[in-house]
Amino acid sequence: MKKILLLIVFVLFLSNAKAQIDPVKYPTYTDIDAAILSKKTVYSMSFRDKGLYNLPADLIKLDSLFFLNLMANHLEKMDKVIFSLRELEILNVNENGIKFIPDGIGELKKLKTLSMNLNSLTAVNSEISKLQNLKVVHFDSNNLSVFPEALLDIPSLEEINLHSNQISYVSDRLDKIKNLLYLNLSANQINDLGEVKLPKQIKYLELQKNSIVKIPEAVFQSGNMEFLNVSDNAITQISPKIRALKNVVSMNLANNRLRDLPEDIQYLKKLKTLILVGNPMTKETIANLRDLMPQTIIYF
Amino acid sequence: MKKKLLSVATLLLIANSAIQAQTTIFDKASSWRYDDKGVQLAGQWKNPGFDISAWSSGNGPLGYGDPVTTTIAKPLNTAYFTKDFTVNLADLSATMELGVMRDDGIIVFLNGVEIVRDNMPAGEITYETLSSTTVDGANESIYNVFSIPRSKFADGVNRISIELHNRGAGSSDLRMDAYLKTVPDNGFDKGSSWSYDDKGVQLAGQWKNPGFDISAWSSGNGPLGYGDPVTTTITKPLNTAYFTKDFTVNLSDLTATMELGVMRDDGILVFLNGVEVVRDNMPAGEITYETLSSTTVDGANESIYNLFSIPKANFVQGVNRISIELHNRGAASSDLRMDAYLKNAAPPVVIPPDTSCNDGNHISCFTSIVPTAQTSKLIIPTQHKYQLILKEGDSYTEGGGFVGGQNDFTGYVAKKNGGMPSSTDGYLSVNHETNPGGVTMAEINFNAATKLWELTKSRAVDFSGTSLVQTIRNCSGGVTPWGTIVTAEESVTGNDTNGDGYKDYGWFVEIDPATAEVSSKNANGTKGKLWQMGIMNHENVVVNDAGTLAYYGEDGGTHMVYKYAMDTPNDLSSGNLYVLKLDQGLTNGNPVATTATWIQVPNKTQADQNNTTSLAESLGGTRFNGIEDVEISPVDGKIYFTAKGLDKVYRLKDNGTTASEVEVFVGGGSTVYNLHTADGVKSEAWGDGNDNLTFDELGNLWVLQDGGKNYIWVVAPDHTQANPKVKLFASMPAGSEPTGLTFTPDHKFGFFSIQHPSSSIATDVDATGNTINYKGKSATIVIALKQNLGIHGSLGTIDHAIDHVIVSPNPTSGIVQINSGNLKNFEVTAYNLLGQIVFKKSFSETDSITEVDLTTQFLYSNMLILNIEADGFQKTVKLLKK
Repeated sequence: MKKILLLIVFVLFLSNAKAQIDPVKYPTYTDIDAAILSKKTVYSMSFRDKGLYNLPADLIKLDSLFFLNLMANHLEKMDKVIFSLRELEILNVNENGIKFIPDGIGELKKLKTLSMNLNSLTAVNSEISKLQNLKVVHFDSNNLSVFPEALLDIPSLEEINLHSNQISYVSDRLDKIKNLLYLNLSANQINDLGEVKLPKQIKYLELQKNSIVKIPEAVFQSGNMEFLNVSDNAITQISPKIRALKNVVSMNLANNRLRDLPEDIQYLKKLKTLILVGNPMTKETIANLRDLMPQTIIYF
Repeated sequence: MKKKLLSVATLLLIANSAIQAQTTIFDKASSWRYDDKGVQLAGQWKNPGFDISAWSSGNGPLGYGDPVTTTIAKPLNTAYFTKDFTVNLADLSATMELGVMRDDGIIVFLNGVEIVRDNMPAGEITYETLSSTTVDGANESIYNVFSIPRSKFADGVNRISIELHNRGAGSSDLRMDAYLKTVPDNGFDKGSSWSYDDKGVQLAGQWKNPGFDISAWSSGNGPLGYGDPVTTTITKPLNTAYFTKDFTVNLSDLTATMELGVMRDDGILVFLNGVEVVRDNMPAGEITYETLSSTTVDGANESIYNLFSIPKANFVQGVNRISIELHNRGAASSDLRMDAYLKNAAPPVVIPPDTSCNDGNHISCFTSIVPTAQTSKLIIPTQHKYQLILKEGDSYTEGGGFVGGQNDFTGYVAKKNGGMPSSTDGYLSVNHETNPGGVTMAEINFNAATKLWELTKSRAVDFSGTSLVQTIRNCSGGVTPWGTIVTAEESVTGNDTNGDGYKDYGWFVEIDPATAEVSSKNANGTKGKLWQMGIMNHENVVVNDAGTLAYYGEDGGTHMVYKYAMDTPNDLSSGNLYVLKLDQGLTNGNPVATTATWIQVPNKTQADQNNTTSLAESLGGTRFNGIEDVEISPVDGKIYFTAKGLDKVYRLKDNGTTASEVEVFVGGGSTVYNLHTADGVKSEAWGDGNDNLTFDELGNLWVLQDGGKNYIWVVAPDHTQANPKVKLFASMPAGSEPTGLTFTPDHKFGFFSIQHPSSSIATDVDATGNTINYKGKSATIVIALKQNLGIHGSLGTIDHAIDHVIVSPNPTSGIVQINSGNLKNFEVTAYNLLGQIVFKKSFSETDSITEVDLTTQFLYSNMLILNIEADGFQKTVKLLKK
């Protein structure tokens, strides 16, 4: 029994250490030849900014890699060799010209972080839902037009960043992503979130720079929410149900069409920061709100 | 640091301004008289004076079946067009350019004389004669270019007549349009016609010689290539494409040097009359079809016309042939493109000589390097030398691991000697802008005897510990007045691996160089990041001398400038945060007004600290583009900052809650500065990518460039845009950018890094005299005036030597003989590779042969550097062990 416990602790320790990518324990190689010739196991490899159009075929030999950075090259597709690296935990292909994710992505079962910012994706392959250890996905600045449905089947996800796409439709079953803490859907083309249900755990929600007219009721049921940014939308009023956001610390409502806020906002006792600049509010309204919420700093 | 925020528009602007003014005699879409009656005309129809008053008229393109402005009768075998135009012969160029869009064949007459027959058979031509081939697809729309000698024209009124022949009366289309313009004398213009070979094979060496038969080559107007916008698309993929053209010059009209502008993606060799005159972005040595360019050209650099000076002596009277081989970075590359022009060089600008460096003893005293594209080597002024300190992949001397890549901020922190900061003994902190990130902490000493820096220790800064979660993309940073390093994480991530409530990355982290450990602390005493300074794509930080204010900017994200007022001096852990708002914003990258306000940004709760940028944005901060660095001038106390995407350096006076005197200090992508170089006065555009900034104590602003040509510029403190004082210090080796310059307190030495040089750069010899190789590896170097770094003479190579003084044998097992002749005050010094003196002996008089025994020294070294000095003589020899 003790032994098993020890083993578990050891495994936990190992995975923790790996996640931290200590540059001394896991030096990152930047030259494929040096990595192949290395007598030590190579865990981390970075080809950032190497001007690559394709990946070196020899990469297949580095089958212990858990970290691979391919950022800022000229890749137009994800070469097969990537999917042979079954130990990969962190994959960064930001700033390339990738148009689609091949089926092979489903092979990277240990993947925890997938970053594909600044590419040309129009969809996310549903094979990605096979990655049940995935915690973080970044698809910022692509050409996605809907919230990738496959993500709904990855309850392990803690962070989803989809800002600066063209998303106009978001599934109402976001609550299926049970562990989700951070969701960023800013700078998309959302005008209606419908009857969206949010995961209970959600802590940071960023919806700024869309065309949202009304904050969905479900947002106000997120009792764990600490930070809400709905600035730069077309919101005309806030529901009194906002009082349920009892853990919210910072709220950014800037640049909307709000003339006033419901009095229930005074029950947000943890709210320290409230940004209201760019709303058609009078000085009297602001003064009243300041009286109502002495513990909150209001920026107007 | 990395993001290439390039201003294509400004570069195109420069490119355009380089075109010589040109006279169009008649333009595309001009008016023509035409006969579409479908019968043979009398032979005189084409002569001047032939009565065309009854003919119809309309603007080009004229025809039918394809888009036309004027529709003529159909079907026709032949249509006849004519027009009169007036010229002043003296204004015409030696050859005139006639462009004709023709579907299908044409014969062109000028004043009744045939000057062009294109896609038509030889011999007599009638109304019934059909064109030789069908013209279709894209060829229907191109303007075929013909050169017409000035001698064919008459002073005053001329008549051009064109008969346009169909491929068959049954053909669905027939179309014609034309233009006539001058071409620059003694050269050729952008977009002109080239013959090209795109067969994808090696050509015989003679291909570039005048007289080589290119009649079977294709031709088309520039730009030619594929994958980027081109006028003429050539076959792909290619490693190399070959272009050639003949042009006529009158030698007496040429300037002493001619300006050749070439847009090239990626590398070129240019031959004039068979002689190589330009090699750009290509390796040295023999070049074949398979040879790839040295670096990838992309972004805005693909569209720049790179300028080269070709001496008049390379030209011949009359017809010259220019031949360009264009090499790709790889056959798999998606694009390949070339266009060029040649013209008389603009007369040199007279600027007053630089008198700022009369004593020549300050690091800022140098003659500008000659403007250049990046070459295979680091280029610094002849007054300076450099020494390689460390490079990517070097093993750490302590703690295991090796030096990371993407060397970025390079901070010298002086150790204290008797309470005074030392300029010869310090720490050198080098950021690694990688993911995962890291910081190398080295300890370095200056050896007064060898005048070289020695690295005594190197190790990785320890970012382990669950309260830290390591660091990523350590970009730039700063050295604090209290002797710590602040490293800046350029990437923000949202995940919170250790569950401490803070996002893991996107923060400043403070490091104690003595322990190579993080010195910033959390409230509970664990190691932490500088949370109150906020999360963003941190780039750099500068702290004022009083230790009360810090300034920094975001590269990406909000692109804003921030100020942080510390609660306690010399303590970055708590303070108030402000964002800069220009009172009237920016127009075209220029401040509309000279005033600004510092707006407070909430930074006291974790939720706010984790979301600095979206809060600053909502509060109205001014968005620049790529704030790469902020510095404080030691001369005027103003705050200077770069915006890489706007290609400018700004400055302002900080008044506390407001700022004033906001202005552009230097730059603008298309702003051209004149430079005194060893080759005389040269001009160079500021270009893209102003990035890291550093002041020396005299107030010279050193500007490191990422993008453009990756120079280091130096701007004098009394520089203004109206009265520019700009010098060019360095050009980085191919593929690399300079990063993170800092100076020793005495400003004798400057440390910076050469980030991501290409693997095709050349080896070099640095101040140690050793051959250094940092191909494909980021490197950190020190620069200084020659007299302050390394022993005199150019080591490794034999320079200014008296040939008959020879050291032999070499390689040796230990005893060597020097045929020293009768030199006076002869002294031999041997150094090992660490720069340490291992042997020294003086001889007041010498025989013809002097023997030196280095057997013991060679027990510990495989190579020694011998410095041989005597009255009026100095020589350095690399001595190898047998």
